[in-house]
Amino acid sequence: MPHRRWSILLWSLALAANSAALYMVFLYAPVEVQMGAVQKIFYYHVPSAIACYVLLFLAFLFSALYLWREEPLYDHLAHSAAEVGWVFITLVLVTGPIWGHSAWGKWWVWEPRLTSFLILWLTYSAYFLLRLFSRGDARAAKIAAVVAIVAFFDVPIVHKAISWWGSIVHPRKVVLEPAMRWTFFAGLASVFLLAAALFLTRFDIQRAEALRAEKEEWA
Amino acid sequence: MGVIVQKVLLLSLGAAGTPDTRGSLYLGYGAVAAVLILYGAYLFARWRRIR
Repeated sequence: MPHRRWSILLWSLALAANSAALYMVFLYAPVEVQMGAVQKIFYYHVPSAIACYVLLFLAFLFSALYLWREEPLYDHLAHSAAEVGWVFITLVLVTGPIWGHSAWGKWWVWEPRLTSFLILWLTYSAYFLLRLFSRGDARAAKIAAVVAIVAFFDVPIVHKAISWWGSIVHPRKVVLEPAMRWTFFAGLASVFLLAAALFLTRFDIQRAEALRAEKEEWA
Repeated sequence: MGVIVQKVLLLSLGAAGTPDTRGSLYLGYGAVAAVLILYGAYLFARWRRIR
């Protein structure tokens, strides 16, 4: 494993930060008066959405670099970022309806933010199907890079959906009282550390697989 | 310890008129854990294959 020390450090930090964040979520943050305890899903739901934006931007950036430089390293970085980003999209899509059902009485509403977010999940699912059913050669990597670049354009649409078209379930602005704000920052830090640790681990595995395949080709 | 007990009580009782939605809260964080465990298992299986 090329980044073993970084991996151990990141995983240790992620574990400590997530333990602290979960303590704050369940025992420190106050219960919101109107929605009750379920509002505490917010502390992982929103940070997961922000983490997926960052990871999908990295996938976009590395895909563009791959098309430009044609170095497999960039393809591996893009693939890893997109995969971990997809996991965080899934987390948002799983926690959102659970919160929504409890708070608004509905699992799903076809409003712009939710619909564009579902499209994001479907687009990156198509990206992985493309990876899965291709031969894994340079041509497939180039097509995947184009898909990752095009798919990323849904991210600003998701982000701006509320200000462009409004929303019946998402507020335009959220004001948090101090204890809730600190818990949110703890959730944000822990989700980002977890995302970084998963990304580095996923990238290490991808590199090790590529090196092994190269060795087998030469043998 | 006093703070923990106080917060646990706050969580279990809630304020007057606040709905009891703890079940959905646990379901939400359980779902987060399930997704992360599944993905972790997938990564571990791939890592085992190249070791």
